[in-house]
Amino acid sequence: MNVIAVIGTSGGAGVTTVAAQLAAGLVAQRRHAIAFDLSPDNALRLHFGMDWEDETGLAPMVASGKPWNEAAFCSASGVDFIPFGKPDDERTIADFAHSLAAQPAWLASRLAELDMPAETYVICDCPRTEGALRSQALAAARLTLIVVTPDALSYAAARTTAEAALAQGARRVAFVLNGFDPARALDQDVATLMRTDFFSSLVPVVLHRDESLREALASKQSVFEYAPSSRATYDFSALAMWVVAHLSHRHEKKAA
Amino acid sequence: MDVTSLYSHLSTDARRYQELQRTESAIKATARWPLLKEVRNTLHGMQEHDRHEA
Repeated sequence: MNVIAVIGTSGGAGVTTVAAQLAAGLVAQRRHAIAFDLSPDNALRLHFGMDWEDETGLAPMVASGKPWNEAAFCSASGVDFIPFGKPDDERTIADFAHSLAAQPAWLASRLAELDMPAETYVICDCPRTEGALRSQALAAARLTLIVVTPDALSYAAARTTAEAALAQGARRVAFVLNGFDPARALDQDVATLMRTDFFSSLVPVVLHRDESLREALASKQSVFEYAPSSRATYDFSALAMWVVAHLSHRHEKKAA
Repeated sequence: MDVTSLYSHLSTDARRYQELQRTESAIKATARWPLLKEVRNTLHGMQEHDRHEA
């Protein structure tokens, strides 16, 4: 199983969007992908058409002692996803995080129980802040994607975010530049600095700023359904291809 | 012969042409944005520190 954790250098980096569209991109390439929401924001589900008021998800299931995989859904476009859900109160989230802290391999064990094909891709949308939920995903992941936006603060936080992820058990980190607009001078310059300073860890696919992404979310669809000819669809197809190639290459190297 | 091959053929600098070109672009980028320059100087200071520690 190929677990991929998606985290950001800062809030608003587009982590949930990248996680959702990467899963949709993998499915568009006939790969089996599951999008897994580990963020109490509970926003990943909205990219897959789930009703705004539906509060079903991982956290309420675990809190009520029900099998958490009963919270799995399938989107119209064929992406399996597990929403975080909305527990009855904040205390439930705190208790959930606390219980996870005592079981560092909880997520890895639960994923193993699903008995999915080895070539399944599990994309984890991680919370903005460090904590037990995020650590679980990082420890289970073969690859951690760090979403960087083309601005000074995101560039400044890139290295410390990667170091923190590695300290929490991430095996391999890679930066992906999101929201890039080639017409903006600062975007070009931050991209240049990322290429210069983090060359070996920078995904060779840039995710461009594209209005189709916001419109797709507002339309309760993935961008692959909403705007199949858009720049964003092209970019996320390329990112999905890179992820598949990167992980299979690393698998072959390990086997050899 | 392209410029990259020409450079590696003629230059005594061990670094690759693209690497030098990227470094040059990075210097120009930081010259335009004071905060990026400060951040990059700090990052490079951290890298130097790590090398000394190692």
